[in-house]
Amino acid sequence: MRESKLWFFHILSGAALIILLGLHTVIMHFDTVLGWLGLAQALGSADGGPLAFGNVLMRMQSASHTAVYLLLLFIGLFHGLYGLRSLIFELPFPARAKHAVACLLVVVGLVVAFWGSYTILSGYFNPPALNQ
Amino acid sequence: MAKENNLGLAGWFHAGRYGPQRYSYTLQRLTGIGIITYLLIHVFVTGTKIQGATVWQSVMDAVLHPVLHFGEFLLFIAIIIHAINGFRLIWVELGSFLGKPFKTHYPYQTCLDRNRGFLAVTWVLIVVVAVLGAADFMHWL
Repeated sequence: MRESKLWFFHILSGAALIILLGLHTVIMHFDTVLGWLGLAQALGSADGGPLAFGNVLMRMQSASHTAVYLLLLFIGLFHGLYGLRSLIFELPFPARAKHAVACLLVVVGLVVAFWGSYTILSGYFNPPALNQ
Repeated sequence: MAKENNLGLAGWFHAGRYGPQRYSYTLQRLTGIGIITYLLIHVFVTGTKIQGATVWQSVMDAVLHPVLHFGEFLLFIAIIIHAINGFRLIWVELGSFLGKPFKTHYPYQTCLDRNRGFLAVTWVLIVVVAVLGAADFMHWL
């Protein structure tokens, strides 16, 4: 029952990621196309491209971008690490090794989720200066 | 004693008579491993943005090294494959595009035979989005 619920959430998170990661990929890698559509400024990828610090700062201070980043972080970590766990569990490893890997993946997930949410929220509530 | 039929990692690539769906599924796994590995690194790399423009720029100068930039391009292609093929897999998991149940008469069919059109559309879409994205990524547009 627990596994089937986790698998259901894995599928659900995959569907959510198609939208969230799709949006993130479009902003980061389709900036020319966004420029054609007149959306580059609004989505924070105009003037120097999405990696220019001015645009990074603009996205950092935007509530909608912050929300998307947090959702991407948590949903992406769950989907990715649960998927990795599923792959490992299918391979012919001893049960104890599988259990150890599952525990390790949970710890990795918690550490990355903590650091990721700290940097996202810190960027939103206490952003650095543009020329710092 | 029962025969061990778990081929392990080798079974992802060959166990006899694998069709295009199975190789798409293998590709889904390989791209997934690449994407989760990148995500774990990406969180720490992009986290340097809170240290200001100078640190951010030095990190960006390092990651825009041609080898790493090419790796990022491969990751971009991996994301497109994983997302669009994943969209297909969600529908298949829910039983869509598989047709109605049918009696098994020779020559035997599987639901995979009825799913080939959806797979073909998926791969056409992957190629179109990948080419468009590559053109933008490589600044050809």
